Formats: sequence, structure tokens, C-alpha cells
Amino acid sequence: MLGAVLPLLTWVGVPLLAAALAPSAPVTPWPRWVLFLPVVAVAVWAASVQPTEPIGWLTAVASPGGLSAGGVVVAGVVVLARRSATPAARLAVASLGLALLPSLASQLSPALDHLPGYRAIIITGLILTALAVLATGVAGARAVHALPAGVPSDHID
Amino acid sequence: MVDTYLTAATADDPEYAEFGTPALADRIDVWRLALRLRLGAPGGTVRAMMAGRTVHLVALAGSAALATMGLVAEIGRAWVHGLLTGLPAPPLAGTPAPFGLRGLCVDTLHLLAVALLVCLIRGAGAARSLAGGIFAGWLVLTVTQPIE
Repeated sequence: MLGAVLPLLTWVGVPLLAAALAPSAPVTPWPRWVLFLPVVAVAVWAASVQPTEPIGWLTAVASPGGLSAGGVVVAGVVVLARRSATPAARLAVASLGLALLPSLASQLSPALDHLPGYRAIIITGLILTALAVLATGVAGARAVHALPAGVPSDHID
Repeated sequence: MVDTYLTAATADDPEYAEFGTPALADRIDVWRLALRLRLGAPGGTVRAMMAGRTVHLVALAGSAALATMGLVAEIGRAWVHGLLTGLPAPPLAGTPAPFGLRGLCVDTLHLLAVALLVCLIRGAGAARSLAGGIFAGWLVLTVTQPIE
């Protein structure tokens, strides 16, 4: 039971808790990357269903965990590479990656071991996601630590 | 904030304050309000504002991911049931599971995830209720039939 509930509490619960706590303000400018996510996800899924015989590694990449891990890793690389990325963006990627790890670990079920390459892709996704969490978390925490403590935000800029 | 709430709620009957205590729902609501104010209030500290932006981004990106997964799941379900034109249904060992009450609940939760994302982008106040409803729905579905 814990194996089923823990991924729910993290990967589903963390964004929903954040949504409940987030300030009710419109997002400007309109975040275009929100449209990018479903386009890429559907494209990967469509590629994975084309072969007549299921390919293990492609099935793993197109699974919810694989797609999410890919998204976190790509987002991590982007926020680390861009100098203009805010500490909030880096910490957000780290938080989501951390929330994803239990869900990824739960996909290491023996039921799909018959697909060659499936387990290797999920383990690779786990390692890359953990590295992305570490790198973005450290970078974000350092940037936040460099901010002046106790200073009202309207005194900055 | 709890002190202020108690003072205001028991202003007409000071003695009641000795016996009365806010319900758990009231305490959670006050806690949530205090946290929201701390995370996003104008005039807050730089670090508090940064935490608020982080929470907002986690909500936005996480909801976008949930909505995307919902979309892929719905397309996959339509494919299994042979509803996609141009893409024949996969040869499965048995017949696909019939679309019952559980399927309807899952579809509804996927749809609500998309609605939550739209609410977050537009800054609509319904996001909080939607988030609570979606989480409760997934919790019930998971507990009643854990995912293999």
C-alpha cells in the first residue's frame, strides 16, 4: 500500500499542495513552455506505439515516469545553463525532481522486466533525475543564500 | 493569527474563550492563510518572495506535467479501444477493460488537471478547490485499487 500511496503523495501531492498555496495572480507573460510539454509527450508516445513489437527502452521512455524524468532533466539543464534563470526556477526544478524520485522508483516493478532495456532506462532516469535535483538544488540554495536576509523585497531593484 | 481569530470570534463573550477552541478546519485555514501571506505578500522579505515564486513555479510546472500525463493517458486509452482514426488498436491478449465508474473518475481527474493548469495561469481563485478535489480523488482511487 505504501508503495502505491508514496508516489501519489509526492509526484501528485506536491504540485497540488503548491497550487493550493500559490498566490492567485495571473501568470505574465503567458508561459509558452506549457504547450511544449504535451506536444513532446504525445510525439514520444506516438513513436513508442508504432512498432509491432514493443521496444523495452522506448516503452520506458514513453511511460509517465520516463516522460516526467526526461522533462525534469531537460528543465534542469536549461535552468542551469541559462544565466538569466532565477533561483526560484532552479529550486522549483529541484523540488519537482525530488517529488518524482519515489514515483520513478515504484516503476522498477518485476511486471515489466520481460521488456529488454526497460529496467536500464528507468534506473538511468533515476540517476539523472537525482543528479538534476542535486545540481539545481545546490545552485538554487546558493543563490538564495546570497540574497540579503530580512530585507523587504520592495527595497531591492 | 489564531490569537486574533479567537479575540474576534469571542469578543461578545469573553468567558467563552476559556472553553472555546477553533475547529481543526479553522486552524488549517488560518495556517494556510498565514503561509500564503508570508509567501506572496507585498513588502515581504526577498527570501520570502523567492519562496513564493518557487511555490508558484512548482504549482505551474507540476500541474502542467499532470495535465500532460492525463492527456497522454486519454490518448492511450482511446488507442486501446480503437477510437483513434489512422492508428489501429493494438493486438492485446484479452479485451480491454470495460469503461466503468473508475474510468469515468480517472477521465474526470485528468480533465480537472487541465482545468487546474488554466486556473493557475489565469490566477483564478478556484485553483485551491480544484487542487484539493484532484488530490482527494486520486487518493481514493489509489487506496481502493492500488496501481500495480
